[in-house]
Amino acid sequence: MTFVTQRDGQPLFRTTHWSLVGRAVEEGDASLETLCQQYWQPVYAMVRREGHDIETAKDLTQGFFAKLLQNDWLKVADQEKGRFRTFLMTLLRRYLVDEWRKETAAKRGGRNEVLHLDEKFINQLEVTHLPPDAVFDRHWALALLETALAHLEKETGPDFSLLKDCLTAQRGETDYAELGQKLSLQEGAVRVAVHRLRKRYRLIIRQEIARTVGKEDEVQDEMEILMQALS
Amino acid sequence: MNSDKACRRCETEISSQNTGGLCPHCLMARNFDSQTMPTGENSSPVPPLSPEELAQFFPHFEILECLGRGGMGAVYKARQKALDRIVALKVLAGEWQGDPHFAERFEQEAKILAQLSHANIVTIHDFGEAGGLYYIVMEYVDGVNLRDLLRDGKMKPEQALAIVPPVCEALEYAHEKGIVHRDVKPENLLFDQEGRVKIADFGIASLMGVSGEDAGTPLYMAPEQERERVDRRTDVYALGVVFYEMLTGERPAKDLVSPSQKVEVDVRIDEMVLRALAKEPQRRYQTAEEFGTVVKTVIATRVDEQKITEKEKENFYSKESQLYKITAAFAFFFGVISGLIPMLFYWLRPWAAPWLTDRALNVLLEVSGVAAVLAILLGFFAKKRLWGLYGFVVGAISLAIWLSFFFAGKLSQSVREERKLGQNNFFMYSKLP
Repeated sequence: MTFVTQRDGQPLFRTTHWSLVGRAVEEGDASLETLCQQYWQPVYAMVRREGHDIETAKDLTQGFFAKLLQNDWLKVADQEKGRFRTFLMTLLRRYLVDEWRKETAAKRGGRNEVLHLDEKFINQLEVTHLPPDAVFDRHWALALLETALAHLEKETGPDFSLLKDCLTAQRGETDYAELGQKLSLQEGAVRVAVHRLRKRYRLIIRQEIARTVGKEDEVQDEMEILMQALS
Repeated sequence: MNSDKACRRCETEISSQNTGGLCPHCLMARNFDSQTMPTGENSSPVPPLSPEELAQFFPHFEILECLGRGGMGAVYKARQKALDRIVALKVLAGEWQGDPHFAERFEQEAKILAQLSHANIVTIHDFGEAGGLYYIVMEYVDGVNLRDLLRDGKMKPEQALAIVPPVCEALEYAHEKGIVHRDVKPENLLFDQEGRVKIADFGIASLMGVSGEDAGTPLYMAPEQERERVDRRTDVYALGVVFYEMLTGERPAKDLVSPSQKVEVDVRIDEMVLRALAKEPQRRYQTAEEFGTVVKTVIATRVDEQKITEKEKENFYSKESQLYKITAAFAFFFGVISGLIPMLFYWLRPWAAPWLTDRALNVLLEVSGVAAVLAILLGFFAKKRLWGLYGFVVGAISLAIWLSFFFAGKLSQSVREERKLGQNNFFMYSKLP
C-alpha cells in the first residue's frame, strides 16, 4: 500500500487496480469483475472497430473477459511494466488474433455471460475510421469520466443534476444567483458548493487514474494521453 | 462514437451516452487547471509531514488529511478524540529553530490570541508543543477560502461590499484588544457552508516573530509594513487590496487604477478603495470600524437608491400617473391648435369668415406658434404615451410651417401691405389698427 499525499490532502494510491489485480490472482477476488465492468466499453468498441458485427463483438467481449477472469493472464500482469490500459489492449490484440485463428474450428456462443453489456451503448456505438488504438483509448477515457461522474453524483445527491454543468463552465459563465434560487441556497453557499464539487471531481479523476497506472508519477502522463484521446 | 452535438466551448463532439451530457474534452481538460499559489506566496520548501508521520506526535488526535500549507506551516484536518470534534491543526514551520526565546514568545502570543472570541474569527482551541513541533488547534471551517472563490473571476459589487463589513467588525474587535492580523489576504478569509466569512490565522505572523518581508504577503502588505511600523491601519490597507481584487479580479498595480475604470462601480466605491489603499497610514481609514461603517452606508444607500429610482420610474410611467396622462393630452391639444385652427381660418377666411379682422388673424397665428412650441415641449416630456408623441410631432410640423410662413413674409396680407409701406417691424401685426 502506497501512501502518497497529494495537494488536496487525500492519498492517491490506496488500492490501485493493479494491486487489485494482484489480489485477484491470489484469492480469485470478485472485485476484478467490478473493474472489468467498468472498462468493458473500450474493449467492445475496439472489437467492433476490428470489423466484427454486433453479435460477434458481444461474444468476443464476453469471451475476452471470461478468459481474463479465469485465465492465467493475470499472473503475467506486472505492475512495474506499465499501465493497466495498455496491458489490457495488448491482451485484447493477442486474444483477437487467437480467436481469428480458431474462428472456424471453435464455436462461439453458449459462453457464460461474465459481464452485463449495456445494450444502449452497444446500439449507439458508431464504428469510425479512427485507428483501433485511438478508439480503445477514447472509450477508455469516456468510461473513466463516466465512472468518476457516477461516483460524484452518488456523493453529491439530488443537487448534482443542477450543479454538474458547473464542472465544465468557464469563468463567469455560471450565474450563481440563479443557481442559488433553484437550489434554495445563498449565493455564497452555492459558490462554496460548486468549488467543492470541482475539487472533489479532480481528486476522483486522479484517484481513478492512479488505480490503473503502475507508478505515481505516471498519473499526469496518463491524464495527458487520455486528454489527447478525447480531442 | 456517438455525436449529436458539438461542445460550444471546445467544439469537439459530445458523446451523448456518457458523461451526463457534458463535454468529455472539457471535463478532462478541467483536470489540468493549475492550482498554483498566487504570486508572492511560496510554499514552504520543506514538504509537510504526512498524516501518518504526524500521528506519532499527536496521540490525542486522529490526523485525517493535510489541508494545505503556507509560509507559516502546514494545516491538517484532525479529529480530537476526547471531544470527538473535527479541528484544524496547524503545525508551525521550522523558522523558529535557533531562536532561544521562541517558546516563551509563542506561549505569550498564543495566550492572547486564544482570548479572541468572535463569530467572524476562527477560534483557537489550544496550542502547545509536541515532539519539538509547535502547534495550534483551531476551529475547523468546512468550506472554502476567498482565493478559491476568486478563481472564478471577480465578484459583483454587491457581493464584494457584503463581505467587507463583517471582516471589519472582526478586525476592529481584535484591534481593540491590541492584536493586528498582519496578514489579511484572500487565503485567510474563509467561508463556511452558509457563506459566512471567518478570518483565519489571526496574529500568526507576529506570533512567529517574523518581520518585514517575511511577515505578511508582499502584495497585500502596506508600504509601512516593510519598515516594521505595523498598526491597525496595516490591516485596513490589506483589506483594501482584497476589496480591490474582489471588485476587479486583479490586484492593484503599482500605479493605482481606480476600480471604476476597470469595472462598472459607482464613484463612492472608488473613493473607499482609494482611501483604504492610501500609501500614508494617516490618510487611510483610521480604524477598521470606520471602513466598515462607510461600506455599510454605501450598501444601505445603494439599496435605497435602487428602490427609489425604480419606484419613481414605476410611478411616472405607470398608467395611473395622472400628471403624465394630462401632459400628453395637453401636448396633443396644443398640437391640434397650432396646426389646424389658424390655418383653417387663414385659408377659409375669404369664404367662411370674412368678419375676421387682420388683427384677430394675426393673434390666431401668434397663438398657433406658441401652441406649437408648447406641444413640442409637453409632447417631449410625455413622449412615452402615444398622445404625447402625436402632440410632439404635430407641434413640430406646425412650428416648421409657421416659421416658413413668417420668414417668407406670408404671415398675412396685412404684413405684406405694411412692408410695402416701408414699415419694417418684426412684430408687424401689433401695428395693425
